[in-house]
Amino acid sequence: MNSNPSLKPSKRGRRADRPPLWLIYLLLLGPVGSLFIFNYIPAFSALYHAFTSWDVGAESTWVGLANFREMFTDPVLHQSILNLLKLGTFVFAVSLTVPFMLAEMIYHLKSEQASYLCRVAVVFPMIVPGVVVFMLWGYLYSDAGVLTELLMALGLHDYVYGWLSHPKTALWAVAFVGFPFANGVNTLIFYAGLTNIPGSVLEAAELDGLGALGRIVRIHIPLVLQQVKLLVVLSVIGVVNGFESIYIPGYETMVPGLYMFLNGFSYQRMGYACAIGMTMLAFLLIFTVALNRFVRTEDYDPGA
Amino acid sequence: MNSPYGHSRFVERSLGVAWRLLLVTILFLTFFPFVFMLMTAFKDTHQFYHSFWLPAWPPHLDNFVTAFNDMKFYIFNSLLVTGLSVSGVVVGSTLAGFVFARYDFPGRELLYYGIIAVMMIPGALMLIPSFVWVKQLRLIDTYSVMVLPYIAGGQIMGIYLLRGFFSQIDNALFEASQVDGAGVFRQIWHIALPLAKPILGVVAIISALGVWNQFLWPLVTTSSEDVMVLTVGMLRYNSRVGGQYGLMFAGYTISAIPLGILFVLTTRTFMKGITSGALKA
Repeated sequence: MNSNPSLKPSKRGRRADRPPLWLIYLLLLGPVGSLFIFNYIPAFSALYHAFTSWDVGAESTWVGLANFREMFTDPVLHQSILNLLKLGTFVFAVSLTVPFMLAEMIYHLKSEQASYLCRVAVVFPMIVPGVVVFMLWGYLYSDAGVLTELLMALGLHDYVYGWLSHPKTALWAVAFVGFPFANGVNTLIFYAGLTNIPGSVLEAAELDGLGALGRIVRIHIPLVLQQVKLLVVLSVIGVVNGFESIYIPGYETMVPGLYMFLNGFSYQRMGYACAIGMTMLAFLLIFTVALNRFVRTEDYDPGA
Repeated sequence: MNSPYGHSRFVERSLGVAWRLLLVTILFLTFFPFVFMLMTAFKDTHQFYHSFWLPAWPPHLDNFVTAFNDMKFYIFNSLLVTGLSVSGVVVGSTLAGFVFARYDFPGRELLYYGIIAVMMIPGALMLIPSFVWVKQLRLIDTYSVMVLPYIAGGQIMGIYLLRGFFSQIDNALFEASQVDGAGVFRQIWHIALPLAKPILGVVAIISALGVWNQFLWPLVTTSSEDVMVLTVGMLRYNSRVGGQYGLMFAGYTISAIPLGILFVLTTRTFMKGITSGALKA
């Protein structure tokens, strides 16, 4: 606000108005120190222990690559990776398509009030804790649940299963938790992408005689690719890490994250668990980097 | 919206109606489980079996009283842990964001990227070594075992957002107050904080949501009811009330009330927060 030139130091002059160095480092001690203690130390510990045999309460012993070799021959792990691929592809597809469709529908509502109301509505279910949502779905699938009652009422008794415990249906029962997958966050992200499409582009499309569907396919989808890329990364991270929703006995719904958890906390094989965790981390990093590298998108400032 | 070709106007109009119907259907299916939950929360077991699809009379408010009495300590613990964590995140990221944005000092970029890099490591994959480590630190079954790591992890995004925000503020603003003899803290308190209120609201909401929904970490690090948070407590509650559906759903409903209040009070910030939280990546 003060435009007196003598008070305006050069760009480099930031150094001059700086408080003493010790104060700066003191102010950063909290963040840096806490991250070091609670994030860096465990991360390095995981990296080291991936190469050890480590039982609960015992010292770890160096075993080189034995854990990683075991991963190649572990049938449960292979099953879990297969499950992850199936679940992942599915979750992936629905968590992109349904929110995109919702965002399109909301975007096309003419009344700003209705549009805002719909956006509030898709976000509203987020107030229910994730664990409770899963317990709720556990009920919906149960033998006193809505799905059973519905099928009974329709006379389809033969289709009533213990969906979550039956080997044939367990994986898909888990996949369908959250149906119809109207993820509020994803919908808002797509919506933000759509509202950021410059008016000039849409006018040009209109002049070219593109109908609603044409606009969606030729203009909207290419221009929200930036959001798609972000959501792909987020949902892959979510899928790979997500295993709390799969707290179900048996191997039918085993995923690598859960298998890591069980190895560490139930089978007392913490070294092996660390090796699985590090492999998953490596996979995630490679995936993220590859996606950023090979899927180039036009960045037209998506805005926050 | 108008198609230049008259004959396809009818097609577009019916498509528009179908489109809206689909929107309504999706919203209906999304809300159905929650509506069912709310409806059943007012029933006793008899009503549950005899009036499955419809609301029953008289409503049993006592379900909520019983459920609340069973859950109140979990709710208190969750509020405490979330409150402490969010305060820590807000304070930590304001101070650090300000320092990173305003001052030049040896090691600045190294420290900054050292902090940001942690975003790349999903905490869940470090669960086992983290657990063993906090056990060695004797933090098991304390509030600290939740609050401290939540602050550590939660401030990363806050620092990122606030550094960006503070570096956009005109430097002259700070220099003027510096000339008046204001130190770092007075500059933060009187100039930076008032300006940063909206973005701090976003940071607070993102971290509150993240902390409130934490499940796996408190599950493995706490087993005493004294410090147990709502997410883990709900697991126990669920098995305690098994079969008493009215009570069960009353509990589920209560578990959504705290975030529900937050949502109602801060709808716009809340909606802005969840998207900017995702856009950090």
